[in-house]
Amino acid sequence: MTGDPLLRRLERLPPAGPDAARAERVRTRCHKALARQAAQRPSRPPAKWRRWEPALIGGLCLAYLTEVLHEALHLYGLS
Amino acid sequence: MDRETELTLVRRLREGDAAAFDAVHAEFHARLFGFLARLSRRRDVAEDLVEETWLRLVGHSARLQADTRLGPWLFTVARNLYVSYCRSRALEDSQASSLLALWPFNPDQSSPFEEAAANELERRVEAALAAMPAGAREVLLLVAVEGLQPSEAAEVCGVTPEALRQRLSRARALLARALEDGEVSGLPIPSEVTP
Repeated sequence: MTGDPLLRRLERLPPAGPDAARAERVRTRCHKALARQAAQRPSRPPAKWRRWEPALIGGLCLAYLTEVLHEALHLYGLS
Repeated sequence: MDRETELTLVRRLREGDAAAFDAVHAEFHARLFGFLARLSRRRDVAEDLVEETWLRLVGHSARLQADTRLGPWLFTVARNLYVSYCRSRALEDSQASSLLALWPFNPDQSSPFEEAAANELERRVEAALAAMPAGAREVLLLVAVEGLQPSEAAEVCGVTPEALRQRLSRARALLARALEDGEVSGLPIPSEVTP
């Protein structure tokens, strides 16, 4: 695409100059919106604790299933 | 911006990191403004639409896909906002057609970029670009001015890569003809976005 001299003329057009004051106002407005969103987001535990979440849930499930199995065997007089 | 940096910025944006937003803003603000200003041929419209584009990014930041390509995403939003703007203008114009005769209108009005062009060649290219149909103009702006890959530009315009290649080829031919003929300064500005 850049080998085309006609398209290269377009490539060399001067960059646009947006209003700097307005750009700054927009940036500030967006920062406020990001902060608002962060405040509304439910808080989560730190990353190091989140790593243990699946193991904890898995452990609790295993304990529950073991207990169910134990009760079932007890009910039928097999334990 | 390399892909790794982009992916990091996307991850941080999803977490609501203001510094990541600043980095994306610094990279794309002037480019988005240039695209919209040349597309709409009006600075005030471009300023409004680029502001809305940033607000859309912030509003959508938590839901961005991890592999989002920021350039195509932002240019797609900007383009869609411009299309919506044109539709609302068309609706307003159809409702206010009886008032058009009273509206001060200068058919020789030049685009802001023509006025700022440093030399005759730049002025002619800017004028040729401004006089092209919007569909041809947007594809030239995305591929030649903003440097998007044709596949990315196709995504922005909502067409297949093959359709985009054809559109680009037609747009290039139109631009070449306009520059060769030297008729660009006499071409009227299409009415849909002219104040």
